[in-house]
Amino acid sequence: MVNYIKKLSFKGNGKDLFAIYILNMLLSIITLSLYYPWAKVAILKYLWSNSELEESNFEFHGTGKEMFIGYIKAILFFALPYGIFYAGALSGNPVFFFLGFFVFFLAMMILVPIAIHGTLRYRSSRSSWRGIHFGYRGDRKVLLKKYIPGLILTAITFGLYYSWLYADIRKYITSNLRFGSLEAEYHGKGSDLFVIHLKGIILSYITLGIYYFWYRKELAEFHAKNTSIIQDETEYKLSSSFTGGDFFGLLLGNFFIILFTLGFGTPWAIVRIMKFNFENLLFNEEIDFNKIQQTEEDYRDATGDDMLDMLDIDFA
Amino acid sequence: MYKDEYIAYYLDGESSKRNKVSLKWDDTSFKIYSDNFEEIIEHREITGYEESDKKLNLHFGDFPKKYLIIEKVVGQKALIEEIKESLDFKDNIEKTVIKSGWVGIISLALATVTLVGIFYFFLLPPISERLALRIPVEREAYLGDRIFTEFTKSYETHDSLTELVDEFVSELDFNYDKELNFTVINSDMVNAFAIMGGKVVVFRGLIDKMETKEELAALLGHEVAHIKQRHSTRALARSLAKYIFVSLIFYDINGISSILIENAQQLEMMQFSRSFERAADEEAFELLRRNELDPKGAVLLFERLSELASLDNKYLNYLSSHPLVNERIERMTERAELEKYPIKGQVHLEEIWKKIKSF
Repeated sequence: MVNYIKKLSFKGNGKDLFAIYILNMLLSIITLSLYYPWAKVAILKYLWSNSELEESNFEFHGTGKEMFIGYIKAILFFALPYGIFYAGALSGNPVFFFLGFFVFFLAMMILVPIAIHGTLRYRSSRSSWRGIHFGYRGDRKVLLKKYIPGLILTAITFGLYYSWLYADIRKYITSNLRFGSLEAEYHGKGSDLFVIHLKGIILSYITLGIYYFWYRKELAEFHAKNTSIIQDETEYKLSSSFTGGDFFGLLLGNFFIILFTLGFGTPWAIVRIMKFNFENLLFNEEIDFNKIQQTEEDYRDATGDDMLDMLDIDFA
Repeated sequence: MYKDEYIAYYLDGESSKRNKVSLKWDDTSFKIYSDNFEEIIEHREITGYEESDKKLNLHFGDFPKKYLIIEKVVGQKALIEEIKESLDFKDNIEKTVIKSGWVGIISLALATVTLVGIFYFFLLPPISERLALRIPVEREAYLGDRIFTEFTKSYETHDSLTELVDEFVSELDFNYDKELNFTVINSDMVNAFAIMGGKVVVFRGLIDKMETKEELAALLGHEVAHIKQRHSTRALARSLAKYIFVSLIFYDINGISSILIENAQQLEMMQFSRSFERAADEEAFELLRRNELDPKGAVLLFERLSELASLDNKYLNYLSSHPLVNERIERMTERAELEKYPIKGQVHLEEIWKKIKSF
């Protein structure tokens, strides 16, 4: 009989997070937004240091300077395709317009996996718990080779292939994540994911959205039970414990918090989400978090982190 | 000399195991030890710290960092205070704000909101407009041509009326040295607008509703004013600058607040376009004066349009894009009465006007 127990908790509170947001906003205005990378680091540091696993907190080691360099790079990367796109659109020549659009689309197709890769590399290497660093050992080229044909297939099949693409990418990423000597695997199958999405979307329509919360519950359960942590060559599965009703309560509560505070309550909503996620992710009690060994080395390139923000994609 | 012995936990950067150790310290270093282990940590090796209700966590070394965790249990609280004092820890700016409590946070929030307001409402518009006005008119004209070409794809131009309007215009002095271009669209819609760079589009439906040449002159004067004062470019620059500003400031707090900001911006844009309309009306009045035409022309058109609006507003697009008609009628009437000037017959203009009306 496997026992699943809570291991994670979030100790942050809305008031402190709000203070950081306000400070970020103020400094961003004063510095004409140059403070942005430091603002982001402040948020990540707060969130990480208030996240606990077995009563010990995580730590984010990224710095504003690193993020700033990444931010500049991201702008340069994205400026070119956007420039080509606008030049094509303004030329008035339909051939140039489509050419510009094509180049833009192509560039985005390549930049998205590059951004995902960069973000994973940067964030994981800059995260630690009890001094043990996380790591991402995926290869950018392999990710590109999985992502680009998958995206084309998804486009050709009008989105039907998406579940398979998602499962494939998630499997690759998960298997390349490291938490010191702990490794991970994802076993979710595209076909199972497709059934969950199809059922979820259809039932959500039929029930005028009510089923959506149970759809999300089912999805979370699916991802959890298909993710395992590997310690000493033994696989330990995860488990998700929230119900559709819990999720409904979370979203409804956050909706009112944000609405009635004219958006100023967003930090409280974020804290609620953090607590919700942490309290509902259960671990096999046999995993021994006290004997993780350091395995990762230092790494420096902040580019990916900001690219993901600019594209505003929530992939994971 | 080392003082009393305390209990601490040591993380060695190699393993996640919390090693329970004995701790002693003095002015320059910490000594940690257990049965089979001993290490001296100089104070200058300490690179940071974290403090919670339960513990003080000292960081030292580079990569991987090592940690010394001292729990706030009975008998150790005084020690922690001593260590903090001795190491002279400085709170970073975030910690300082958090520690200032609600009063500090709320004051900071108010200051920030005020600053955002000042920036958004008072600094951004003039700066962005000034920058926009540096764009050469030729570039505006180029963009205007593109918009015009796009527009005429879905509408039929009325060539003979356009010719007559050109003739009409050549009799007027717009006090503008750049190229202007007038087009009449063959449609019942009651509408007219200016395109950046020098193009004015008038719908036949609007000319049908006019009864005097002064009305047409006033309308054209109004639209040309939008071009002369580069209202589209300025409005575009403003909203673009504000969009960028908002997305930079609210990069993380998304959702509702950005919607609120957007609505505020729309309200503000309405006010903005009102000030543009007022400026254009002024210019229309000046045009009538310069060409010695009856200033009532400007008023008459609006009066007729607003009357029509109450009956049937199917085609009255012009009014929907030119709000607050009554206010404008009042202002123009007032001006016409205050600033009387001699009016000429303008026989030639009248002849052209009659030709226009006979279509």
